[in-house]
Amino acid sequence: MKAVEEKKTSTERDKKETILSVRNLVTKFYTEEGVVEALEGINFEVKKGEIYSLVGETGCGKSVTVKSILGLLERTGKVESGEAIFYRSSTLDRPVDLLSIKESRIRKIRGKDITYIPQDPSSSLNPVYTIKNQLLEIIRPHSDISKKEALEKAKELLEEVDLAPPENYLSKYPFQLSGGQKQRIIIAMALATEPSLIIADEPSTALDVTVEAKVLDLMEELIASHDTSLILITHNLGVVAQISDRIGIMYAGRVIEVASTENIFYKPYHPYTFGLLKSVPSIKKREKELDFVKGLVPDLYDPPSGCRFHPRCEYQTDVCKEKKPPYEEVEPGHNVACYYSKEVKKDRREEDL
Amino acid sequence: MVNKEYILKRLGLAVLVMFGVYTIGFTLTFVAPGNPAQAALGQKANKEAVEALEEQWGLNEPLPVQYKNYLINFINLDWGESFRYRGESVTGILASRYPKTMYYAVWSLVFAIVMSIPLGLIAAYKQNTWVDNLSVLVSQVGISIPNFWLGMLIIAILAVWLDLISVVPDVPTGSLWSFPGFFTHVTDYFGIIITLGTALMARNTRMTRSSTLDVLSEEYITMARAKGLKERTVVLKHALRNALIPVVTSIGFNLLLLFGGAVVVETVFGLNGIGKLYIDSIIRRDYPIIIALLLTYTIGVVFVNLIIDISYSVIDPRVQLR
Repeated sequence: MKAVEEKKTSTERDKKETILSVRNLVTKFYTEEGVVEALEGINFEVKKGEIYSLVGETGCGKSVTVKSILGLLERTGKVESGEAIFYRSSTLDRPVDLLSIKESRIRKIRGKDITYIPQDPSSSLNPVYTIKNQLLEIIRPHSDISKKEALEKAKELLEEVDLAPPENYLSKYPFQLSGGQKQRIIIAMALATEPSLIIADEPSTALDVTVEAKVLDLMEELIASHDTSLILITHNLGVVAQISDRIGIMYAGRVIEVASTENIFYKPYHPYTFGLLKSVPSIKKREKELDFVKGLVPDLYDPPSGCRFHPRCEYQTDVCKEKKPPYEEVEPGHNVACYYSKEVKKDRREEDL
Repeated sequence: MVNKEYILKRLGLAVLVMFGVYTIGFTLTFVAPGNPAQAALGQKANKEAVEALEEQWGLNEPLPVQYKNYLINFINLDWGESFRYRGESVTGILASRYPKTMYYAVWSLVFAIVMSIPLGLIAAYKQNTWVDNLSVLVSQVGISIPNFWLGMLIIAILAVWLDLISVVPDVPTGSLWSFPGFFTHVTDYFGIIITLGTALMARNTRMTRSSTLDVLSEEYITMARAKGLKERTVVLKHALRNALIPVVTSIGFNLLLLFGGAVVVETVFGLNGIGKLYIDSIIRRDYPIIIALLLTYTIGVVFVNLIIDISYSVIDPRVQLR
């Protein structure tokens, strides 16, 4: 019964309004060793109330994508072109391009309309300030409430992330808490300003498996109850299957396939997605040797020409080496960047995913 | 935070340290060749006079007895008379010298901190810009240039050539530590303060810069920015306090080097402070002064270290003083 309900809501979400739309985002890093072409044209959009996952191997540009959008790139990184239109700014009544507005403007959106959950909770809280200090610091500047009201709000938030009684946690320093507790505090911070979008960068990788499951459940629950959207960055397909509505698969600085969770898992069109899914261990395939995507992630100092996946792709032909495949809609709401998506479709019928 | 037990434990340790320093210091002083009585009376003095003086000063006693006597007298605050300045009490001499050295040492420290922390912080924040290059240059030069050379340079330029300062500050000791004398006499001691403070400032700039660079690449700085905080808050609240943790240790350590520098600077500027007294007393084999300086200085070092450890625990809550 519950599963049916969930399915229904996810199809409803497809029709909902877009809150963030990223187009042709190109980011490069200018290091002493050379130029890293980290992102070569990222396209995706996030709709109201949905959980959108960006999935890919380490180094494919997931974190760079969100840091580019939020203006949090380190000094060497530079957004070269593209746009990231945000439709739900509470300070401006019109859609804003996050990549071109002034630093002082984006600061009012960051931490207010869009919040960030970083990868490692342990290193993301400042070791020398109390939890209370670090919570109030996000609550107060973004609203006109008194210190007392802010403190009440902080307590509410801690209760919401199952840290009760809140008084026990407010006066603590980060080193006095466990990894799971710290991640809950970070989640509380992310919810503090009632944002319309939360971006979580591998929020659970640094945690134990049992804690990870709890934190993910909590996040899913809170996203629904606060009616916000979530961009979830991860390399873990299990996590993605569990909670996301739509998935974008990234490879070497590009989103190569975007579809609903069901479609990505059951009807992939891109050879890389197909390969990834075949590499997920399964009870049914127990006797067989585990499949994997052959080759390595390319060196982005000197990326392959054309489609960056071609050196590892079994479908590759000359056209793949010469020209970047266009990003096309193969089914409604299902976009792929590959010349041979039809062949993949044919092949995957023969394989039992 | 700081508790009574911790302070008591540290005081106990301090006693042990004092004892060790006294033993080593006494041995080095008394075993080194040279006879204070002979030195006081001159090479041509007759033997009887020298022996009489030795007896008066207790130098004919066996070393272990003298070792015991000096220690007991020090503890009883009966520090005796100087060998060199006959008839003057050691307490009186130290009381007239310490305030001068402390005065410019404190101001050198203030100069070093006030200059180095902002410079190091800005340099790290604006890495690879002209501010950063300037800070690297300043710290490189400051560390490399010897105190005595810088002192002479300052005398030559500021005192002799431009006639802006006097070489030897001629200020009554008492007014140095009064209000507003404490502030107005900075100009009199300007040359000394800069000479002594430069090395410390240079070292500290480098330390602040590198520790700020480390801190700025921490995840919690990205997090602070993601919260939408102003850059000023990110740097002054989140980065600075963490960056100061290693800097505080380094300041404490360098403060001790500062007193070593006092010997050189006082010689160059001809100031009668502790540094010059130390050197003169060693040359003239003025045992009571040497021992008193040694022990008072050690007390100072122990005290400074305690202050540093306490301030460390104030800056960094992870440090628990036990």
